[in-house]
Amino acid sequence: MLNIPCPYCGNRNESEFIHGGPAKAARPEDLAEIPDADWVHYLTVPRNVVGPINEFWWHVKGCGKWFTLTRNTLTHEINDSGQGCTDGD
Amino acid sequence: MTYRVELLRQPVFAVIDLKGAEPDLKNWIDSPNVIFPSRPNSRTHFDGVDLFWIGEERWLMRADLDQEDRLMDLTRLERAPVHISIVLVSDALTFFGISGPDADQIIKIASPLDIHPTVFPCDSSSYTEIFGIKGLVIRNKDGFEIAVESSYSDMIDDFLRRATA
Amino acid sequence: MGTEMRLAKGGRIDRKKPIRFQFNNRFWSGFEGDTLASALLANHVCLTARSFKYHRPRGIMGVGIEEPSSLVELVGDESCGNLPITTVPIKEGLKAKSVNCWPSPERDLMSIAQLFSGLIPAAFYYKTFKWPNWHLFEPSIRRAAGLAEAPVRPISAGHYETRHDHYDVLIVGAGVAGLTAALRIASAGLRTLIVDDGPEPGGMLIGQSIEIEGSPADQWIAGTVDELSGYDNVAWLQNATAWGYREQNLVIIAEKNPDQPMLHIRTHRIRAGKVIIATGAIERSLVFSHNDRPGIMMSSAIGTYVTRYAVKPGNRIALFTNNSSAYSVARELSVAGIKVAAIIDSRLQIGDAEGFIDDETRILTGHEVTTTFGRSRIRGIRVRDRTTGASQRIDCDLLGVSGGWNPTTHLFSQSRGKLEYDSDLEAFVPGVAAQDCICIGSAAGKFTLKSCMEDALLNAQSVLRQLDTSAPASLIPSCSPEPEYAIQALWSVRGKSGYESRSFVDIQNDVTLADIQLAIREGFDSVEHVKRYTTAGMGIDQGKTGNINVIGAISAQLGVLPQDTGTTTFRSPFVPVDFGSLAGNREQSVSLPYRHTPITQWNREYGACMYEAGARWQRPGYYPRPGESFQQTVNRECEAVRYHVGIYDGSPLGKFEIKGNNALQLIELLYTRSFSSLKNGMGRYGIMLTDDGLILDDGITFKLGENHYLMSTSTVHADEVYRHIEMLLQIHRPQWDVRITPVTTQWSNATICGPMARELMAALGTDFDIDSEAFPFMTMRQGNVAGIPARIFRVSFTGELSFEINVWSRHALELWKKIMQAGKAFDLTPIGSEANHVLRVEKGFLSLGHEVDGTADPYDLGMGWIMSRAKADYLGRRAIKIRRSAEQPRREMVGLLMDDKDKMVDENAPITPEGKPLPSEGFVSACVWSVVHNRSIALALLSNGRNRIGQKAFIRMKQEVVQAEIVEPCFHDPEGQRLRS
Repeated sequence: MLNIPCPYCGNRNESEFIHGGPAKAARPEDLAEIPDADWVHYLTVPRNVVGPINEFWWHVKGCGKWFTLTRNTLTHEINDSGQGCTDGD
Repeated sequence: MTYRVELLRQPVFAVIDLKGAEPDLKNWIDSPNVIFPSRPNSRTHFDGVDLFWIGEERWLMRADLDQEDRLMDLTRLERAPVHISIVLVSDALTFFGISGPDADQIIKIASPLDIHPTVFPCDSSSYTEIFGIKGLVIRNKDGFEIAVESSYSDMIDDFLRRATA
Repeated sequence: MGTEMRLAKGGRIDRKKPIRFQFNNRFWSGFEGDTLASALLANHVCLTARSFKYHRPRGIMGVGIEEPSSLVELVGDESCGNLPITTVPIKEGLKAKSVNCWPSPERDLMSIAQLFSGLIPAAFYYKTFKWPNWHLFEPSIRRAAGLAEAPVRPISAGHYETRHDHYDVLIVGAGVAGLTAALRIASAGLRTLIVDDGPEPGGMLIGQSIEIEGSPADQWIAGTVDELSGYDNVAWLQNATAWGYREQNLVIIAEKNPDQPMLHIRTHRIRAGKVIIATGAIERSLVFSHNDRPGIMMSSAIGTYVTRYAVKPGNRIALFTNNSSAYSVARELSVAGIKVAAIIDSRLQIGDAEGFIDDETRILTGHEVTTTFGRSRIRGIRVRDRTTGASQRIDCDLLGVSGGWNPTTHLFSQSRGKLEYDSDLEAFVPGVAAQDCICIGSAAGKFTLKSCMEDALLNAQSVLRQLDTSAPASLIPSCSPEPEYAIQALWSVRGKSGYESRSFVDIQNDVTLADIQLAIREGFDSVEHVKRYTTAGMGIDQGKTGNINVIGAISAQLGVLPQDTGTTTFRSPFVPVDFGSLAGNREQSVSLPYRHTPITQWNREYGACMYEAGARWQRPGYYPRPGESFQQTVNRECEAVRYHVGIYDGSPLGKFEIKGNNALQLIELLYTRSFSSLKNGMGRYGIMLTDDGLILDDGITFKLGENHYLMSTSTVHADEVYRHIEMLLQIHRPQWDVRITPVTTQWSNATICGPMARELMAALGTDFDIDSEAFPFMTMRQGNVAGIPARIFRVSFTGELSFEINVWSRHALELWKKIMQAGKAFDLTPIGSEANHVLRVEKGFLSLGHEVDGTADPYDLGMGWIMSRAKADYLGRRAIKIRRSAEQPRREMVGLLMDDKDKMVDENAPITPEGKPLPSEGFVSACVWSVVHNRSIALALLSNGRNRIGQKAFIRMKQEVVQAEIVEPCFHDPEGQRLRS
């Protein structure tokens, strides 16, 4: 059970949150310019790193904030550095 | 009962959900009596009204049910401009009072929230997990209040009775 | 009774409080403060168990959670299996029995197994019973082995509780190191929790004759505890075992018999800033032939029985050791007036201070025990000079063994801290920590009192520094002199043949040295493989006294050092944990969450059959009348809706208010259909896709004003839709001005449906026109119904004329009762979710989890019309376009009419080409009895189904193949005239 730093509420128990998957770039406004293969990649190929990864989390039982944090998949070390890897980078 | 607590399932309160930028809401409500909390996850009290700051650009305003019309007048919710959202949610929440010397122990059973007085002092309130669901924990002078989505109120009642039986 | 082996004075038992209890169907007595083990030893009961595999006679070997040998089962009110006998406090009325023997350990019928023990080495059963199939033999083999039976019912008295708490510092273990550190931490004002698994603080120090600051140890403990109790920033738990160490310093603790009498076990989930692990050390056994006889005990356990319980576990005592600690035990026994006959020490030389005990104890250095004698109790040992090989017999009825000490690093290892091998201590000690924790005292390999205290103070100081606090300086207390800890590894004593099939390395699982040797010969040369092949280190005790000897044996045979062999992974729980304590407060009626509407109670009283119908809502399934079958009830409810009028409680439908300058833009992005032309007070049905083109939800959205909408979602996916929208807004479109407020429970709804719904509305009385032209389909009105303010929507989930009356939940029951009253004239029938299902299948309305199975897109469901061509973009549009460009045949929704009109087919039954056992080309998504056609009907997803309408489909059921005609997926009012009426 992780201890997750919510930017609004501070550290809270993981059970208050929902995991939103690995972080990725915001959905583009205009898809017309994006080739099919790139779009399929954006939708379906998450990075699966060993080490720091940026992730989306939702404080669903708390303040309702969606935010990004950096979690080390090997050690569970968590910080808000945003220095992990992000899909689409 | 071996825990020294009193449980009280409260009748419906008047509750209004406020969302928007704080200056916009202050501007719209336009009453000198309304005091917005200065600290996230805390509340203010004025004229029989509690104002809870529950999240980024999110507040709950609460008063006794007989004050519902007054709250609706104060917030002018029917006419609120499009960039702020003011919604009556009185029926969507059920409040429970948990008071007595062991009230903090019941909250520790219900919730993973740290309620130590140094981190969760008397004007604190926060949404957190209560018996597995989302709920609001409020510290009062003589104990706590919790509020949950009303469809879960029978279950929470059940949980509280079991925890204290 | 109970006094035979009890010392005249001393111990931490209360001699004024005798207790009677039952063990193996006989009554025994002990004192308050006794464990089952100490009380039985006081009664001179030696044979307490039969072993797991060979049913060998066994006694008590340990004194606490490390006990490998004697497991008991509690019977009666607190029935519970597989408890180490040393961890059960006795109390009046306690009933316990040995596990794994019948009828008793003395007369165990399976004891014959030990005659064949040489024939059943590791993996014997798997190797022998592999033909024709292991599973033929498995049940009877499992019956012969195994431990206690699972209790048949829950404990009758008390319940379980889980609570959460937070501390700056958590100190695990209130022995000398824990207490010393606690004083320091507490005086800095930090929120501190001390947990200890014993009945009282002090750990190994309790009852010891060693002096601290010139006073007996017990006095120092009492003084320290007294001082600590003066701090209100310190909380304390005894009888509480920390068994799990999770991410970010979450430590899980089971507290037995807490002060609340109604509680059986209280689980604490503690999140701590710092964890100080002061869990001490566990003595390990020695491996020699017949080292498992009753009367062989850990040497420190003998000391503890004497000092803490005033029990003398034997009359003629010998000790066998490879280290200095056994001499301390001998000195403690000497203080209590008990003589040790002989100490057999495998080391050639020992220090003078170490060896001084008294004049009567024979000390045989450079010797080892090769085997033991006796049947149900040890009678003597054979001792061999390690240099000359000369051997002699020494008589004894109690043999204490000490193979050295292992720091109790289980929690540290669970936290993923690394262990290092210390070749001076011949033990694994904590190395680099992975979380914010630190091991102190014996848990860090400091095995003398003075070094324990020094280490505790030093580390407490560094913890304070790391937490940016300080406390007044304190001095290390002075202690009476004690010899340094000294050890020389002895992993096993070589027997006569070199094939040690009676030398046990894991007492609990009956694993011998021969088994380890066999495993390595067969190629299992990693410690993890040896563990799994032989089961060494598994079970209740997890090899707390034996694992290091397994590692030693592997290392010896492979010719490597123990650090290269390494340890197996330490996993939680550290001690066995009740399932109940994992479940915590989630017992009985609250084992699963549930939700009610304001009508739930009325429904129950009306006789509805209630169950969960998604998203935790308890809903009426159907309302049986006396004498009705299930099908008759459902048919009656369906007929009511089709031919006159029905009512259902639609409150659980998800409802959200959406408002903001970009609200329309949001709706347009979420739904496949265009909403831009929607007028105020009107609604539109929409399908919502995820961006990868799968159907997330369907529902109707009404426009309340400019950029202000009320969205309804399916009951089941309300939470998921909320997540979806909030994520979209906060992560992908943070620049948009939109706010969403869930109002699902603010509004409850009663839906009236059927051809007579309008007449019923008129009878209720409304202050607005309900005529079909004034209030057409897909519009809403705000007004009063039966005098109650309401929002009324003309939508239909049944295919009939419907009025969905939404009121504030506080008015819902009143409205419901008024409708039921007014409905009497129309034979108004409440309908449940079963009838609702039939009605929607008749209409071919899609349903999440049935036709929407996670692969179907709207085209597949015959709803291509809902995919806007005018909009440049919406979620899922691009993905569906890409997917469909492959032009593979797709499974499409069709109706099925079975050739035999009475035949019902199973939901999810596969459809295959001509019913042959071939890969399926689709499946039945729903099958119901249609009241309008008086026959069975079904919906299915079928490959290329739209083009096959008019052809036959073959449904494979378990016993038969059912033939059906493929038809349009709508069986009732395909033009939709009735719902618009």
